[in-house]
Amino acid sequence: MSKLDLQIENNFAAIAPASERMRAHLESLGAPAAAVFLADLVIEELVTNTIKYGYDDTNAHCVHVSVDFSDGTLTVEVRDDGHEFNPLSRESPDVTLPAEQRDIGGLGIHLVCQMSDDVRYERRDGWNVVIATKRFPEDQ
Amino acid sequence: MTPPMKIDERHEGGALVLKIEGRLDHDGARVFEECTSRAIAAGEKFLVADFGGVDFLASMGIRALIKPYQTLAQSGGRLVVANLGDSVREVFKIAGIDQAVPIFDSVEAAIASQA
Repeated sequence: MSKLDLQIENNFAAIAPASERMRAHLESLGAPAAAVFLADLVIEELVTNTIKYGYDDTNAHCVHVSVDFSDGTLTVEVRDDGHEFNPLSRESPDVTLPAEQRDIGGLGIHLVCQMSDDVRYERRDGWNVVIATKRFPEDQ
Repeated sequence: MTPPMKIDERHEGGALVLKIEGRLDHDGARVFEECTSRAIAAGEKFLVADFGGVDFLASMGIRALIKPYQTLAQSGGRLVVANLGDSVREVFKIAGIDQAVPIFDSVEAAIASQA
C-alpha cells in the first residue's frame, strides 16, 4: 500500500509521532528526501494551524491526514472538522521586507504552496480538506 | 522516537556557535528561542547558527530565527547562519530570509565574516 492514513489529536505533542510514522512510511516506499521534507512541512504547518486556530470549542478532535507516494507523485491530504476556513484565501506574507519588519503570519501556508505543484482546498461534508501534490521526477 | 532537537554551544573566534541537531519544528523553535534569548541576555553579540544538523525547518523555526536576528540588529550585534542543507535552503529562499539573514557555507566562513 502506498497510502498511509494518520489521525492526529488536536494537541501539539501528537504531531511529532505522526510525522515520524509518515517519514518511515515514505522512506520505505523509496520516496526522495525532498518528498519526505515536503510531507513533513504540510503536516507541521496545516495541523499546527488547525490546532491553534481551527476549533471553537475545547473538545478533543482528530485531524485526519493521508499521505501517498506513487508514480513519483506525493499527495498529502489534511482534513479537519474545525470551523470553515480556507487557508489559501489568506494573503501571502511580504517576504521581500527587511527581516526587521517581518510579520510571519501566513508564512507556513505560503511555504506549502510554493514548495508544492498544486494545493487545493474544499469544504466537504463539514470538513476542511486541503490537498497538496508534487511530482518528483526520477532523476532528482 | 526522534530525539528532541538539541543545541551545542561553543565560543569560537568571538562568536557563540550554536550547533543545532534535529528538527526546527514547533518544539524545536521553542528550544532555539530559549537558547538565543539566554545568550543575548548574557551579552552575546555575535551568534552563528550552524544548521548542518537541521533536517527539517518549518515557519515556526523561521520565526524563532528572525526574533534574535532583530534583537541583535537593534543593538549592533549579528546573527548569521551556516551549513544549510538543500531543503532547508529552499525554505530560506521561499521565505525570503536568504535576502536578510547572512548565509555562509561553513561556520569558519561565518566567523571570518565578522573580522
